[in-house]
Amino acid sequence: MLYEARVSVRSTWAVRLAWLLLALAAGAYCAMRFAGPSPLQTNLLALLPPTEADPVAERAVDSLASAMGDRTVFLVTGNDPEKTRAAARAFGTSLAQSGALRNVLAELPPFDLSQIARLYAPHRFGLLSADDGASLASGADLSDALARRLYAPMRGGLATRLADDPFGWLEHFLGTLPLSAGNLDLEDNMLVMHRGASTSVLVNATLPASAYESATQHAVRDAVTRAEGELQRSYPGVTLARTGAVFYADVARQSAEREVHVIGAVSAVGIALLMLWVFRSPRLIVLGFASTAIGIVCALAATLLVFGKLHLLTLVFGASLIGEAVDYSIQYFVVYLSAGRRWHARRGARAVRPALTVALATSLFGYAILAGVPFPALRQIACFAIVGIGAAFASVLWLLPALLVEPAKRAPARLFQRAGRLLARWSAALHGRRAMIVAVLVVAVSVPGWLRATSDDDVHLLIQRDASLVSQEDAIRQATGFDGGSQFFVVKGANDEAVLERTEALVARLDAIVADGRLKGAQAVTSFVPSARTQAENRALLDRHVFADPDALRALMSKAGFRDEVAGAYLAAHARDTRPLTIDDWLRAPISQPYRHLWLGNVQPGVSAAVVLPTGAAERALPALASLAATLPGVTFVDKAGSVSKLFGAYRFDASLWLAGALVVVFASLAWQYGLRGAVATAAPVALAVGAALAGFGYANVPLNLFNWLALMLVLGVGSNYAVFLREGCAREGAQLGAVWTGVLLSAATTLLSFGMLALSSMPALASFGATLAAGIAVAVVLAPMGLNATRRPLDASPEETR
Amino acid sequence: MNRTRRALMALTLFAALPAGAFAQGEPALVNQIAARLARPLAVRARFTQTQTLAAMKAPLVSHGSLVFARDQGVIWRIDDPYRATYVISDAGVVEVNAGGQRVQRGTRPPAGVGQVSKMMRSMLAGDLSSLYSQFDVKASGTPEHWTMQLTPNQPQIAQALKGLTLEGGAYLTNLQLSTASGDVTRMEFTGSTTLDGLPAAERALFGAH
Repeated sequence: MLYEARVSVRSTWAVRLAWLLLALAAGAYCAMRFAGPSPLQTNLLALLPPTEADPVAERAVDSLASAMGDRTVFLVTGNDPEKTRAAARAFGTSLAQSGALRNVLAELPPFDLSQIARLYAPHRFGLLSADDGASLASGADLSDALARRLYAPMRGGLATRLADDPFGWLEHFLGTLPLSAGNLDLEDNMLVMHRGASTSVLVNATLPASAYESATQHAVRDAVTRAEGELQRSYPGVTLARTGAVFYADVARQSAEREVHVIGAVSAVGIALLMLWVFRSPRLIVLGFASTAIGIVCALAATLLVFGKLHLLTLVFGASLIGEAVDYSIQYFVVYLSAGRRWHARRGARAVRPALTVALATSLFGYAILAGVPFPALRQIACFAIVGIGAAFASVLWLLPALLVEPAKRAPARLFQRAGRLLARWSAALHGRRAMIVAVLVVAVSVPGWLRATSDDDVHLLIQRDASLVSQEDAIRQATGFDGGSQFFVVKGANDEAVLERTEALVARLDAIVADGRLKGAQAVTSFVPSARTQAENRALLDRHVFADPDALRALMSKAGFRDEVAGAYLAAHARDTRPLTIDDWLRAPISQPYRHLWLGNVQPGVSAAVVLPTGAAERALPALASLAATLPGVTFVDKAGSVSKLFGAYRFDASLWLAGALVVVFASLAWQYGLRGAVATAAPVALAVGAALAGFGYANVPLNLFNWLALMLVLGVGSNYAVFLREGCAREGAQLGAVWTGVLLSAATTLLSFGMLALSSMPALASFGATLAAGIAVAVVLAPMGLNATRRPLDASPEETR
Repeated sequence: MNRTRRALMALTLFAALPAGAFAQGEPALVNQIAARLARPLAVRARFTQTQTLAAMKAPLVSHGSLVFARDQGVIWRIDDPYRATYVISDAGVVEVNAGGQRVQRGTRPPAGVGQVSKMMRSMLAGDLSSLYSQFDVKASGTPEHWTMQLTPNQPQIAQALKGLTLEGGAYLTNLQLSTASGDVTRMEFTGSTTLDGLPAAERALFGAH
């Protein structure tokens, strides 16, 4: 006996030590990760699943995002043009001095626009604007072209030297370069927009590091806040708008962190108070939290280990998992308290094991389905939850018995008694035939709700952008005419030339869509570098119509008044400058810098690719753009937002089928455990809960999305626990029904508390999750007594009965 | 290069302005002028333009007429050596044919012209700050006969533009522009008259694009 006790003590310590080591290891790993560069994934785009079948297209999405990702743009606006310019200059200086941003450009460096002419001039005999090409081909009068070049007023844009470009063809070509930025004018070396009485000045800057590093975000936020403060002090009335991925990421991270704190704190405090009220034992609360904390820390460590980075969505969801993870220990404590003096820790664990195992299995099943959906965020959430509740479960079965050796000194007898009476009354109300009536009633009330249900598959479910930042971005977009461009074309070909030719074919077709107003325009690399074929055609056109007879050309120019040596030099240049402009020439020139995202280059061995950005695409133009891509070889239309929404829709439909399937699986497993009748009784509450939750969204006019359906899967997994807990609790030897019911209610309350908090999240996907779970779980627990064994009438059990 | 051209364009547009717009130094006079400026809706004049260009054997001379509409822009009609009509407005510069239809030439109007047109309008509204931000202005004479010397004060413009001389009385009569490369453009304006409103034919031209 003594020996046995010693062995037991020794093994108890071994168990405690093992769990301590596990908790320490997981905790240390998490601490290490959070101490280093932040493991939080603040890139909202990373939440999106890959949607493109073509890896080049998916890569184009990434490379465009990163090209845009490290840019920040500010717009300084005021009523006094002079003051606004000065304010912008001061703002730029302040930003530059902060060191948080690189290449702050309030004033453009003295940029020699003749650089552009110098890049193109050597290739001018292959470069023609579309109009000049058409008029040359139609045999237009050359002397007329010369006269217009010489006498027309107000030649705008990029001027060329008369001697280099007597007909103005190069100048016209340069005029077609999409260099002008929206409504901005160059004044005092600044990019300025005037609108009504207000003047706005554009300030550009780039980030020294990734926009998704929290260190970058901090530094940029501090620098901008300081500069904005100085702006407001020195130039009252001047306002600032900003845009850039770094701001969106920063706001998203801050709001997620806030939510984690709020959800975590409220859940923890709420759960502590609930447990204190019910169990009246700080010791149990500490043990409950220890088990929960082990679950959460292990989940965090495992998720970081598996995925490397933690999505904000996972972080916030993780905080709400507390309410579910604590359920297992609650069930154990109920058994502990009901046992009174007869308590034996390991026997207690054995008693509670069947209920917990069924509960764990159904929950794991729900999360496993979540893991099957190919959305990176959902996989993480599923991984987090599976590890979290798994560890909590294990700690209840193996750690808590080692810590809870002494029997309870007292049990909350009166509370259990009252709960027992409540359960007796309630289960009597739900018993036998009445259960049927209640079920029919729930269904009847739900049907109109189901009929009203609508759905929503918008991408905003995963990517919610801060409203104030969006309106600032709109202001900047109006000024710059720049389109964020989540829609674009990817053009692929075997080599650069093939890509350029296909791009030209695409742009020609897009021009038709531009002509009927559904599109503002298209940015394509071929505006800067026509294909070699086009250049050869232009050259052939000039050869045929202009240079075929050198003497006639000489005479023509002479008649117009050109010096003979100018005509001679022009003819000589035509003979000499035959090399077409290439993509590499352009890439080497500084002017390509702002447009390099249009050229993806050699993406795979033997595959080159380019991007064509349609600007100002009306919603109704999108189908035309998509079908256009289908008719052109090597062209893919990428509409990331549209694809994600489509994916949401497809999976929402699938999810409703999975839900039905999951219901069947849960039912089958319950039937295997409890028999057909028992399975109907045990599964009915959760099935009704799923139906009622669905109807609730219909009545509330909240459109259903994929995340609601996935949450229903969890309602199934978590909600069936209560009927199982009740049923198993009543089946336990010497069961004290009041205690069992108290445990079930307490479990449900903690889960409701934390998932209910989740419903308040600013992230639509999580809010949908939380609202659905809370609604479903509430109904499931209320109806749970339906699952009580019909043959065994629930009695109000007094403490004396516990013998 | 671009800036120079814009400055040049702005000044071409000034050609049509009633004189006195630039009378500087005496605030009272400037106020009078600003008030006068806002008055005429439209001005009609004839022009002779003489360009002395390095690439050409002889100066290029063109004749024609112009209508300046305060709220719209300028219609520049060349009669000689060829006939053509250009409409210069906030939307840019476009050539229109005899029927008032836009002649397709370049897929978009040259950038910059619209900005000049806007700049001109703000100056007409009495805001000469954009002129001063780019030029040193020296004026002499009386409101009845004055001369103004504009010298670029920004190195970028100075690289290409040497200076401008304007002369006038009640209206601008002469404008001379010299580039750094030695090219000179002279414009002479005669027969300037204030119109009570923009004639229907000209109004239609502004609507042509």
